[in-house]
Amino acid sequence: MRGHHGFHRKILSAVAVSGLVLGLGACSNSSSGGTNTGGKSGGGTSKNIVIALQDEPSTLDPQTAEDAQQFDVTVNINETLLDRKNDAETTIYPLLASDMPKQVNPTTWEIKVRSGISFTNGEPFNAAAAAYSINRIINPKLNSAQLSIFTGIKNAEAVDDTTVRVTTDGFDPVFDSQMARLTMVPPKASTQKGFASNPVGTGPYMFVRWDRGQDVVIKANPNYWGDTKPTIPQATFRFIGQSNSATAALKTGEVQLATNVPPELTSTVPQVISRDGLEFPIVRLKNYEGPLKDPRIRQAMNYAIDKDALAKNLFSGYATVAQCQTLDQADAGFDSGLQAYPYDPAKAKQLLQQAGYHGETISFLGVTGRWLKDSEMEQAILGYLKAVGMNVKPKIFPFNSYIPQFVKGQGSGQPDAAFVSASNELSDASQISSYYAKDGSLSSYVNDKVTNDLKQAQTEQDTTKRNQLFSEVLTTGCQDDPVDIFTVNLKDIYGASKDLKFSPYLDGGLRIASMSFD
Amino acid sequence: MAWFLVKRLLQGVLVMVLVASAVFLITRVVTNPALAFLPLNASKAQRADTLAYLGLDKSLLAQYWTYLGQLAHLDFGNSFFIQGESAFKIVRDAVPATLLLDTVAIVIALVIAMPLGIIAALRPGSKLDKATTTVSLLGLSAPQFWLGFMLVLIFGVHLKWFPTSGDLGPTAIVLPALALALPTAGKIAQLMRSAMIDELDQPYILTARSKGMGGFHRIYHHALRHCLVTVMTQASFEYARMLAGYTVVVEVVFAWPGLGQLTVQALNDQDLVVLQAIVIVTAGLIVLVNLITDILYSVIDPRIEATA
Repeated sequence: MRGHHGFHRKILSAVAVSGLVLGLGACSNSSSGGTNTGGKSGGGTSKNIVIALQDEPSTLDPQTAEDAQQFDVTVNINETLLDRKNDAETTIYPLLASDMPKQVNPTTWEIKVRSGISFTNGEPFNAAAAAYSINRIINPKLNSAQLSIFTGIKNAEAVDDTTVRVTTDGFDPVFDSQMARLTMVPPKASTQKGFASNPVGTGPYMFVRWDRGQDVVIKANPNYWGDTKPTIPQATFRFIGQSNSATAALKTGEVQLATNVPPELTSTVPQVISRDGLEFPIVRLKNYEGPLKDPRIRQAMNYAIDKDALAKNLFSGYATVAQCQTLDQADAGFDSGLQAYPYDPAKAKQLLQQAGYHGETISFLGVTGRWLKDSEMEQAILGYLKAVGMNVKPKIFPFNSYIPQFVKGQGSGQPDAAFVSASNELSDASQISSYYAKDGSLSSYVNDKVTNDLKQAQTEQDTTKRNQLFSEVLTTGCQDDPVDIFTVNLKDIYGASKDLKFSPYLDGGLRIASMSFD
Repeated sequence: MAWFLVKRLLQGVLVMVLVASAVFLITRVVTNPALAFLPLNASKAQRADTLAYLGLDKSLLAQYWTYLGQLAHLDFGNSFFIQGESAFKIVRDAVPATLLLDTVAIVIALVIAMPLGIIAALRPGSKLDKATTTVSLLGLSAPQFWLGFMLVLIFGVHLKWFPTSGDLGPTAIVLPALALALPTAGKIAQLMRSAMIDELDQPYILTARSKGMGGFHRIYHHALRHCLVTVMTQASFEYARMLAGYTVVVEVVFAWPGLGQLTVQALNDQDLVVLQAIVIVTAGLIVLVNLITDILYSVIDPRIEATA
C-alpha cells in the first residue's frame, strides 16, 4: 500500500513533525562522521551496507504481496525471466531466460531458460521451475495481490528442460513487461510452510535472517551465476518508520541509505540521490453526470492550477510538471506530443463563464496520511480552484475511510472530483484503462471512443498502431474531454552516506548488486 | 488473599472478553483489509476473492462465533499476510522488548522522581522547591515524540553516545527509556512532593520531631512509607499507560522492535488478526499489572488487606 511501481509505500505522519526537528537538525553541520560497522570481509573496499526502510515487509514471499518493502528485499533474492535495464528506455532484456520470448501463435509464447542455474537451496532452476512459478502466481488459491499485473496469462508448461510454453487468453502485447515482473521461486521450498519468512532464489543475494520489528539481513550469494558479482558482502534492512530517525541514523553513520526522505529533510542528509518516480498525484474528474459534465469546466480546472509552483514550493523541486498524462517518458505509449496546461487563471474564469458555471457545488474526496504531502496538495488545489470562482466542498478522510468511497462504481454516488496518486506497474500505457475506460476499476469517466480505442489497443500487435491508439486516448483525456486534473510527477528521494554509489531504478527496487562504496 | 486473587482473575478474564469483542466489532465495521491488501486498481472480482480468502465474506455473527471459539482454545488465528504464521507468536515475540523498555523506563522515572519530590517537600516554597518543581513540570509537559527527537539529536547525532534507533547493543535502550521516563518522572515527582508535604504535616511527625528524631530517620522510616502507596498507585497507572499507548510513539521514533511498532505495522497493513491479538495481550498485561499492584499495596502497608 505505498506507491512505488504501484506498490504500497506508506508516507507516515513522520513528515508532520519534521518541521520541529529541522531547526536543530540544520545546526548540526550534517557531518557524516561515524564509521561503518560492517566490512568484515578482507576485500579492502568491500564493506557492508545498512539500509533504512520506512516500514517492515508484510511478507518475504516475492509472489503474494504488493508491497514496496518486500520488493526492496526480495529483488535481491528472487530473479525474473526478463529484466529491465536502468537506462532511459528501461529496455527489457533476458535475465533467467536465455533469449527474449518468441511468439508461436497469437496466444502462445515460448521462452528458453538458461541452464546450469540453481536456487541457493540446491533446487535446479529449469523450465519446470519457471512454469511452476508462473502457474503459482496466477493460481487463485495463492490470492496474490499481484494478480492484476498478470491478467491474460492462462497457463504455463515445461516442454523440455529449457523451454517453457505460456498460453494467454488473447494476444498479449504486454507479455514481456509481465515477464519482467514475474518472480521465479523454487518449486519445493515455496510449497513449504515458512517460505514467506525464509525466501530462496537464484539472485545475487541470499536470505540470512529476519528479526521481526528490527531488520532483515541478506548476504552475497557466493555461487551467483550472473556476470555482475555483488561487491557488498552483506546488507541489513532496518525498519525505521520516522523519517527524522532515519536521517539521524544517516548522519551518525548507522545507516548508509534511507528511502523516502521527505523533501524538507534533504538538506540534512550527507548525500541526496533522486530520480523521477512512478507517482502522479491527480484529481480524478467525473464527466458523465454532475456539475463537471461540460468539458470546458474540466479544462478550466486544469488551467487553474499552478503546477510549477507545486513542484518548486511544495516538493522543494523534487517533482516535475506532468505532461498531461500519468506516464513516464520511458513507458510504452508515452505521448511526447502532449504538454501540460499552462497556469492561466484568466482563461479558466473565461471557460467557466462560457460553460455557464455559476458556483454549483462540486464534491471533492480527499485523503490524508497516505501519499507524500497528500493533504498539502489537496489544500493547494482547493485554493487554486476557489481562486477562479469554483465552489468545491471537500471531504478529507484517512485512507481506510477514503478507499471504499474512492472505488465506488459509476452511477453509485461517485464524488465529482477525487484526489489520488496514480502509478503504473507495467511501464505500459495499457494501465491507464483503470481511469480512462468506461469499465475501468477506478473510472468515473465515460467516453465511448476512448473506451473502444483502449479495447483495440489491448490486442493490437503492431506497436506503431498501438501507440497511435494510446496517443489518441491520451490526447482526448487531456484536451477535448479531460479525465483528470494533471499536476506533477514526484521524484523518489533517497538519503545516502557520502561514499555510496547508487543509481535508483524506476521501479524503486533497491538492487544491492548495483551499489558500491568509493 | 486467595479468594481475592481468584476474584480478581475472574474479573480480568471478563475484561479481556469484553475487550476482545470490542476490538473484533470495531475493526470489522470500520475497515476493509481487502482494499488495503490489493493495489488500487484491482478488479471487483479480485477484491471479493481476497475477502473470501481472509474469511471476511461471511456474516459478522458467523465470524464472531468462529473467533470466540478460537479464543476459547487460546487460538488467536493466523496473520492475514504472513501465511501460516500464528498471530499469537508474532505478538508474543514483540512483548519482551516492550516489557523491558517500559520497566527500565518506570525504574528510571522512580529513581529520578522520588528524591526530587522529597527534596522539594522539605522546604515548600523555597528556591530549591521552585527549581525542582519547574524541572518536573518541564518533564511532564514535554511530549514523548518531541523529547525523543531531541534526545536523538543531542545524544545520538551530536555527542554520538548512543545509537539513534533500533535495539542493537546494550546502550540502545537508554534514549527510548529516557523519552518514556522523563514525562512520567515529572508527574510522579509532583505527586511525591504534595504527598510528602501532607505527610510531614501529620501530628505523628510532629511528635517524632519533638522527641528529637533526625530528619532522615523521620522521613525514611515514617513519612515515606505512607507516601509510597500514593506513588505506587500513580506508577502502576503510568506503567499501564506506557504499555497501552506511550510506548507506541516512542517505539516508532526509536524503531524499537516491540508491541508499539507492531501495532502501527498491523494497523497500516490492516492485519486484523494480529491487531486483535495485540489488544488482547496488552489488556492481559494491564490486568496483570493491576493485580501485582494490589498485592504490593498489602506488602507496603499491612493495614491494607487484599480484599476486594
